[in-house]
Amino acid sequence: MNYELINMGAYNLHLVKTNRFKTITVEVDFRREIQKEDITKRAVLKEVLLNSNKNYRTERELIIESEKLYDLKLVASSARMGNYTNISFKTRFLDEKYTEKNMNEESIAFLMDIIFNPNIDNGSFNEEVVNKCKNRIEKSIKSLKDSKLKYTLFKLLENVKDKPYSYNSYGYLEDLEKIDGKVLYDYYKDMINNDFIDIFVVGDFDSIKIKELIKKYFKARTYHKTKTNIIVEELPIIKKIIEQSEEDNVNQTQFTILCGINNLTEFERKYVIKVYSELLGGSSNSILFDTVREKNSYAYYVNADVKSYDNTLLIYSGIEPGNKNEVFKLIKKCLIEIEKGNFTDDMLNNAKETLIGGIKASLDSPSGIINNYFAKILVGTDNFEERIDNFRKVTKEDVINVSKKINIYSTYTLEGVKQDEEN
Amino acid sequence: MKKIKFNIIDEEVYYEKLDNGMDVYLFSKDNFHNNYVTFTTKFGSIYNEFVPIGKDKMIKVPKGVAHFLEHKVFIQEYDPQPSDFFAESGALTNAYTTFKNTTYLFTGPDNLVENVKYLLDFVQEPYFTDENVESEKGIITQEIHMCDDRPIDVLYEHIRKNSLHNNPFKDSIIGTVNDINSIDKKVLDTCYETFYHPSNMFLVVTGNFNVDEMINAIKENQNSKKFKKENKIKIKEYKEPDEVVLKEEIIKMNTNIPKLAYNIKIPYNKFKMEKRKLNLYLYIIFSILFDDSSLFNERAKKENIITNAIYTNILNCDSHILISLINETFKYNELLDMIKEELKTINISSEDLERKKKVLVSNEIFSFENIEIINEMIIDSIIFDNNIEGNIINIINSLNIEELNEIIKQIDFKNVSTIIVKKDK
Repeated sequence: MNYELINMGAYNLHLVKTNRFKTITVEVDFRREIQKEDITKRAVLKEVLLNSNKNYRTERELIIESEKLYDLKLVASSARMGNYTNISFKTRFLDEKYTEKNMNEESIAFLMDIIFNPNIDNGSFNEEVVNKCKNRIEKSIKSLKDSKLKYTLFKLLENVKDKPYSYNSYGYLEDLEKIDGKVLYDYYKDMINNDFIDIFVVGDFDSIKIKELIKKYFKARTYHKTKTNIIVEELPIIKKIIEQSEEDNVNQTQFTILCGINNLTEFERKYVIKVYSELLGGSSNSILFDTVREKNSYAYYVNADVKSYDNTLLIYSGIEPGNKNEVFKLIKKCLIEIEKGNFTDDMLNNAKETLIGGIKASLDSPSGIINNYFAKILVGTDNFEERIDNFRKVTKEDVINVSKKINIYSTYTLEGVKQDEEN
Repeated sequence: MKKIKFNIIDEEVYYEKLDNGMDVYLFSKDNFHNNYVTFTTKFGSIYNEFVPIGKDKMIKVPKGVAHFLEHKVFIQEYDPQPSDFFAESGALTNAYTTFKNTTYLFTGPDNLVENVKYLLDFVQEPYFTDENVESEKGIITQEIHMCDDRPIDVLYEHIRKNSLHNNPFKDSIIGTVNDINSIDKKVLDTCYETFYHPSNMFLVVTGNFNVDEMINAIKENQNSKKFKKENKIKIKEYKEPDEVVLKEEIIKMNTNIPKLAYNIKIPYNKFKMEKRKLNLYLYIIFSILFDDSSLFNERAKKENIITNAIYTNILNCDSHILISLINETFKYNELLDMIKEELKTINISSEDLERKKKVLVSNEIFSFENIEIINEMIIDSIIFDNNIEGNIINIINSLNIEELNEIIKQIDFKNVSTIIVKKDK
């Protein structure tokens, strides 16, 4: 695998040449500092661009065209990364070695056409298309409650005012109302002109040719961008944990905990905190799983998940109704056990090896490879080999030190009030 | 070892049957980083009535026993437990139970040969006690509750329940709380001895390794163990009527957007065509009619009847195929009418067929990007078709409009069960 980063002025071009795949992947990322009122616009925008285009007026024509390009895969997604919000357009298609000559160029041209040649009349996106996409976003906002865990985590985080992770990543119904074709087109131009742009290409290609193709079809030509710190400001350490709950007609109670992380060093943020989270609740051999599920049979699942850009750690579990207090006690006990160093070298080693295994496995997927190089640009993530070595270097003392930087901030419980009598 | 070649895709799988009856499939590539290994028994939720190994009388076991067994096989008498063992080399382990198989697996880049031997060992040396069987019941009951809370899971359960009379696919894989409570150590022992015999199992290794070294290690491991004499497992046969059980049902539960499933029940014996090919045609027919590239989809979206394309789920239940058209919409009645109208007269052009053939070819080549998908494809081929097809691209290329129209003629599009899941007001 060979990696090359080329500064193209208006954007960074990342070329990853590897013979691992029979496909070529191209990803274009637009990012800027997150603003709450932009979330809904960006969600609608990515839908609109994938729905209609000057050349392919309808979603149907667009899909038929992609199927003719040997079922080229095309997705757009929007996500938050720390203080940034990011829209990503990604395509993956069969290397022309397996199909027909010129398919690589046609496929790249197709992606860029989707981004740069939208269906505009009189300085506005086509209203019919915009309305269709707004309906879709409305539905996804409303569907949040169908996933009990997602909903509970959302409520947990929503209560932390002013932090970007408190925003609803699906968008807001009140913002949706304000969006029309004109508003959206203005935002689109703003995005193309002012966002940071990174383009990634992964596959077995000729680098010179690919660079020329991207140059030929990628049309953003701007240089003024405002940099922001990706890392979200820490939560204050508070004496009394904020506990909130609501009842719902479900069989299983969802219990979620938000922890703040304070004063991480760079090495801790990149490595130690990830080892800690894995050890605490990463998989079925974690301390939480072992204590709460296996030894006490209270929960079906219990996990910990660190958000290192956010300075937070989330713990979430699905438990038998009525057991919340017991489970919370057990979880707190697990946190203290780590602080006291009550875990074996084997457990620590397993957590480290699991993370290392994940790094190696990521080399088998284009998105794993892209995520790594994207993180390198964002936070200076080390190379694959360095990451593996550095995870190996994490000691028990490192983990104990980092465990003292973790403070429970709040909890949210979706309490099940129905007991199934029939079964 | 035998080689199975995949034409055009330019890949190959090695195959060998061991002395104890176990089948081994090996797929290795030197530019892969990770490995994915599965060990599968042809024992899933549908095998509830059978003659146990060494016996002559048919017995009936509680539903959900295959899944229960899956949980219990993971418990070892002595530490390390499987998840700890695999974690030592950064590997992850898991297992799942379907209608027709139970699969144990791990995935990880290092220590492959030792991990493969360990996978065989832990599955082949389980540890059941009255206490540990009892303690699992709480965990599985939680899992059942979790499914009962998920509207989409409830919908899928009812698709089978309302379509099938006697076919054991009608029951849930996990069982009910009553089923689970009636399971004991003796039942688990009986099922284990019968269905976990090596002649009823197969191992699939996909990743980056030396093929000869791997097969030798597997043989050495298996030759060192003793098993009962192989015998053919007798499963109770059933007669399944072609009619559905319930033509319509509305289920009320805690959900925001109503969910609709329109289920067509099709008997297999009506078609004189290989199952694999028939499935390709069915996929093509229903995707041309209803997917994102269809006129139907465009119309239904324009009229605000749907926001996302109908999803077509094709379930092979041995005696029958259930085709389910699934969608989430407040306008489920309008959508139902539209579907019925669409299925009255079906016209498919050869241009559309050719486009969908490109899609199918692309799917096959894409599968070979990912060791997990390659592995699952091998498992599915063995479970559903009993062999691996190396000529799949040629088969796709041979599909034609005459055969397709013949199949459309033979399907009774009115043999339907509809299910709606909506809010309880």
